[in-house]
Amino acid sequence: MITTAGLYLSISLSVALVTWGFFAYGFATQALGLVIFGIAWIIGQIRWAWIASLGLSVVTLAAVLGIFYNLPISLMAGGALFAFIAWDLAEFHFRLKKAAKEDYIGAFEGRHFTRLGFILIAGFGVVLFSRFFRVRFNFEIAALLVLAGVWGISLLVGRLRRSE
Amino acid sequence: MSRIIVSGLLIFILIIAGLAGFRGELIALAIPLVIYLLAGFLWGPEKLLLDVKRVLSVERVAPGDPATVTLSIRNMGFPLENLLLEDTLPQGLEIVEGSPRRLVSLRVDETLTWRYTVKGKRGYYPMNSLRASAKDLLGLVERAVIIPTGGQLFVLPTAPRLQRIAIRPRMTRVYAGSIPARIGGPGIEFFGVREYQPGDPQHWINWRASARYSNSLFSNEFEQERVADVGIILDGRRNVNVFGSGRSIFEHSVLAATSLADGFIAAGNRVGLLVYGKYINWTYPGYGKLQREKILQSLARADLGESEVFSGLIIPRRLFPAFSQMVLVSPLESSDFKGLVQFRSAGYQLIVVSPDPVAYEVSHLPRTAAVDLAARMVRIEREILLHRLQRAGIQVVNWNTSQPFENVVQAALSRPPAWLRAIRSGGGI
Repeated sequence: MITTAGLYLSISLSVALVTWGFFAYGFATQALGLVIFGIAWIIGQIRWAWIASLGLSVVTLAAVLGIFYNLPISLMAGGALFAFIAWDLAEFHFRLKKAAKEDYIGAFEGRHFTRLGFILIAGFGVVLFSRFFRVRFNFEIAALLVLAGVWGISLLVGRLRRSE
Repeated sequence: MSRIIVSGLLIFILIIAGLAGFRGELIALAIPLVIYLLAGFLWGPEKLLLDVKRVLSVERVAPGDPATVTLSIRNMGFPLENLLLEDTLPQGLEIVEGSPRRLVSLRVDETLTWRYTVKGKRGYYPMNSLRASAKDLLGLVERAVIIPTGGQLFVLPTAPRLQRIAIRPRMTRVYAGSIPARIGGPGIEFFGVREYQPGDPQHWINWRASARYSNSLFSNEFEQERVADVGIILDGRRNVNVFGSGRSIFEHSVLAATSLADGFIAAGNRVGLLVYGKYINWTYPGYGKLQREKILQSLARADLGESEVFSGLIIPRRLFPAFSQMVLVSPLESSDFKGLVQFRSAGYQLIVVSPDPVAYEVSHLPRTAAVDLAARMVRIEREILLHRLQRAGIQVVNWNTSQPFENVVQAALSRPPAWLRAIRSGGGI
C-alpha cells in the first residue's frame, strides 16, 4: 500500500531532517532526543492514531526552535513539511485499515494524494509568492492584519469544530 | 484530540512565534496548514441522508450455524467521497465471510449492497443499527450518524430430545396427556377395581374379582393420563455457575433446561420457564410449538446475574398453582436448601436437575493431592446437601456433565412404556 510506505517514509524524513540540522550545529543532546522520539513515533504509529498529532507538534516545535537558533531553514522547514505529510497520511492510513477486502483502496489513495499534492503546491506557491512580492506595511496596519488573521482563523476553527 | 484543534493550535503557535521573533519563515510555515484547513472545510461532507435496509437470511439458527446479513444503503443526500459504513456487530458473533465494514464513495442516488456471514454462540443478537461516518478526503471534517435498522438474530440452544420423563404432580389439568393423574378412568395403567357399570367394555371386566361374588360384576379401572403444569426454573446466579478462571457450567444448565422444556412440551404439558439470573425473567406457561419457540428464545437470552438465594423467590400461584410440577436446573449451593424446602412446603412437586459443579471443576484442574483432597471435601458437602434434599421429598438428578444428559435423565426420570412395565411387574393387569 502506497500510503503505508509514504507514511513511514515521511516520519523518517521529517525526524531525520530536523535531527540532522540540530546535530550538524552541535546540538547533539537535542538530536539524540529527536532520534529517540522518531523511533517511538514509528513504533507507536502501528497502534495509536494520536501519536501522529504528537509527532507533528514535536517536530514543528523543534523546527521553530531550530529557526530561532538559526539552523538551516531548508532542513527545519523540510522536517516540518514531512511531519505534516506524515500526520495527514497517518489519519488516512487508519481510515484505510477499516476498508474491506473488496473496497477499491487504490482510488481513495489516488484522490488523496492528488488533493494533498495540490494543497502542498498551493501552500508553497503562496510562500514563494510572498518571498518575491513584498509590500511594506507600517506597524499599525501589520498588527491589524495579524489580528484580523488570528480572528479569521479562530472563526474558521470554531466553525469547523461545530460542523463535526 | 481533534485534528482541527491540532492544526489550529500549530497555526497559532507558528504565527505568534513568527511575530514575536520577527521571523517570516515561521509564518510561512503556517501557510500550508492554513490552506489544509481551508481545503478540509471546502471539501467537507454535507449532511448524511442514507436509507439503510437490512435482511437476514435466517433469524434463528443453531449455535455455529452461519447467517448471512445483507445491507443495502442508498445515498439520498449529497455525494460522499469517503464514507465508512460499520455495521454494529453484537459481541459474541463471529465473522465467517465478508466484512461488517465498508469504505466507499457514494454518488447521489447510488445504492451499495453488501453481504457478510456470521456465526455465534447461544444468545440473542439485536442488529439494529449501522454507523456511517463521512469524511473529507483529508480527514479533517467528519459527519457521523447511527442509522437504526431492523434485524435480530437468535442463536437458539440445541439439546437432545428426551422421551417419557416420569413426573407425578399431585394436580393435573383436564386435558388428556401422558402424566398419571391419580384419578380412575380411561387409561392404560391399572388403577383399581370398581363395580361394573353399563357401557364398560367387556375386556375391562375383572373376572377374578367378579368370581368371588355371585351377584356382581367388577370392572378394572385405569389411571387417567392428563397434561400437567410444569415450571422450569433455570438458575443463572453467577456465584453458583462461575468457577476459577471464569469457567462456567451455565451452558450445561441451559442445555438441560432446553432438553427438559422440549420433552415436557412434546408430551403436551403446559410449560413455563423462569430464568433466575441477571433478572427474573418469566416465560408464561403455555402449550405447543409456539410456547416451545418462546422458551427457546428466552433460553437464548439467558445470562448470568447477581441474584443470591432462592428463599426470596416467589412463584405466582396464578401461573403455577400449588401441587404442580417444578423442575429446578441448578448446580446448587448449601444455602439453597432452605429455599428449596420452602418450595416443597408450598405444595410443589420439585425435581432438581443439578449439573455437578465438583466434577466439572475437577475435570479442568490438574490432578494433584491438594486438588483431590479439596474435591473430596466439597463432594462430601454436596452429597450431604443432595441427601438432605431427597429426605425433604425433592427428587434430585445429579448430572456429571461429562456424561450425555439424555442418558442421565433417562436413567433417573424415565418412565418405561406400559408393555415393558407389565413385563417387569410379572404379567398382566
